[in-house]
Order: sequence, then C-alpha cells, then structure tokens
Amino acid sequence: MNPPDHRPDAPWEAELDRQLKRLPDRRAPATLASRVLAAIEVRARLPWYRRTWWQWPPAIQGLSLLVASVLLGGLTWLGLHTGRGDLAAALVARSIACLAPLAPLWTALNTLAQAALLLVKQPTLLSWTLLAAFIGALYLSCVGFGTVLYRVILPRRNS
Amino acid sequence: MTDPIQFETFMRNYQDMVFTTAWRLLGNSSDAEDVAQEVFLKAYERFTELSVSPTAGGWLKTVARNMSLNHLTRYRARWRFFSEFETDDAGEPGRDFAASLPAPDTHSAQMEAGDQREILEAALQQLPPTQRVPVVLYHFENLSYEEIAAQLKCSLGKVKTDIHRGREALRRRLVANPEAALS
Repeated sequence: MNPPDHRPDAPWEAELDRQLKRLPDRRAPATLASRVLAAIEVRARLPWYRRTWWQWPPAIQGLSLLVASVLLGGLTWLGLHTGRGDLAAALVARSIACLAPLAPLWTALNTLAQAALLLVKQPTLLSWTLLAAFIGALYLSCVGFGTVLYRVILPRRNS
Repeated sequence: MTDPIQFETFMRNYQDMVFTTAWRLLGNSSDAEDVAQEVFLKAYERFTELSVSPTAGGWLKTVARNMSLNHLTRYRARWRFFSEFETDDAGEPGRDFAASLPAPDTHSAQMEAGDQREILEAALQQLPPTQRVPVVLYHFENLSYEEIAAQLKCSLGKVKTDIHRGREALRRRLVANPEAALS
C-alpha cells in the first residue's frame, strides 16, 4: 500500500511551509571567516607537490603530462615489441640486472605465488578452508586495529 | 590568482546562508561551522568561475547541503560500527536513520525564543534528526519526496511519513506556544 501523500494541502501545513520559508538565516559565527582564511593561508604555504594536481603550476602540470605520455607510449611500445627481436630481450636483461638487489624479495614472492598456484591447481577443502581462515584473520585484525585506534585516539582528540 | 580581499567579501556575503543550511541539517553549530569552512575552501578553489557566476549562491547552497548530508552519513556509519549502539529502540517507528546522531544544539535557540520565528526555529531544532533532516530538505531546500528519498537512501514511504510526523510535531510544539501558533 502506498503511503498517503503528505503535501501541505491542509491550511495549517501551507501556513507552516510559509512560516518556515520566512525564517531568516542564522548569523554565522564570527570565527568562520578567520578560520577559512587561515586554512587558505596554510594551503598556500604547502609546496606544489603536496597539493592536488589541479593546483600545480601550469609548467609542472604540462611537464607531468609529457612524462606520463612518454611513459605510457614507452610501455605501449614495449608491450607491442616484447618477445620479438633482441632489443626486448636486452631490455629485459638490463632491467633484471638493475633489479638484482631485490632478488631475495623476488624469490620470496615467487615462492608464495607458486604455493598459491598449487592451491588453485589442486583445490582441497582443507586448502580453501585455510585460505578463507587466513583472509578472515587479516580482515579481523584490520577491524580490531581500527577499533583500537578509534577508541584510543579519538577520545584524546575530542578531549 | 585569487584575490584574498575579493574572496573575503564574497565569503562574508554568503557565510550566513551557508552556515544556516548546514546548521539546520546538522542541528549543531560546531559541525555546521566545520562544514561551512569546507564549503568555502572548495569555493576558493573555483573562485575564478564563482566570482563572476550569477548562480554562485545556488552552487554554495547545494554544496553545503551535500556536504552536510555526507557528514551525517559518515557520522552514522562510524557510530553504528564502533559505538555502543542502542538496541532497545526497535519498537520506535522511524528511528533507523539519524536517530543516533548528536542531539540538536537547541540551548542557544531556547534562550532567545522570544518571538515567533525564534520559537519556530527552536521547535525545528528540537525535532529528532530522523524528522528534521527530511523536513529541512523539503521546506528549505525545496527537494521533492523522491529526491529526498534518493539523498537519504531510504524509501519514499519513510520520507513521507517522517515529514508528516515532523510537521505534526512542529504543530504540537507551536500550539503549546500561542504566540507562534499556526492559524
């Protein structure tokens, strides 16, 4: 059943509407303007790289667009040419050489990825249960951490 | 580059309207001031366009309304998630939306409730948020029932019922004050 339409048809409702609309604006606190101006001043003092992209100097905006375009173009070019020719192989080899200090991290990630792949390839109830428990534990720890922060930090901020 | 003096003049012209919009929705001076500050900071970023726009007032009002509603939604979500949410109010109809929001800041209004307008404003602020917010959106922001339901993400029926209850509550409170009684 649709609820009744409560448009202000009754005379008192129309009168109420009129009176409400006639209510004057409330005077803003005297501190409002000074707060806004102070916040603007703080923002103005921020270095350009800590502001939003829209507020960067035009020259840096242009430069950032150029760099992004070059990067995107380069990646596209690499994507199109990977697997063909010696250049791609040489680039990959050079990149690997540059990333050599990160080898232990790569090994650990690789092992984890292989373990995950094994789980996906040979799914058992136990493996899925363990995975679900792991994800659940991560989620609960995030919630718990958030709750502790909320209860510990917020009352201090409010007090 | 924005001229600070020009912006200050602009802000002083509109600050009462922006603050009032937020205050009526939030029912709290401190939160309303925070929201008004955010509105003007946003306006500052677009001041080049706003300073010459004939609809700057409308833009500010819409932003103030949306930011106030966002503030209410954020507060409600946090409150429900983390705090000791009251569970024994299930029997009270229409208490699911912002019933858990902060109590209206009616003290100052009550102190000054000398004339008809003050009494009406105070009565409005004494409404529970679940009624005050849709009443304000309907009567001050001129939104339709459908738009209010969409903004508050609740059913059309609930919006109509809450506005009706809000109006009835206002009438009851105003009848108790003969100076401001409706004809």
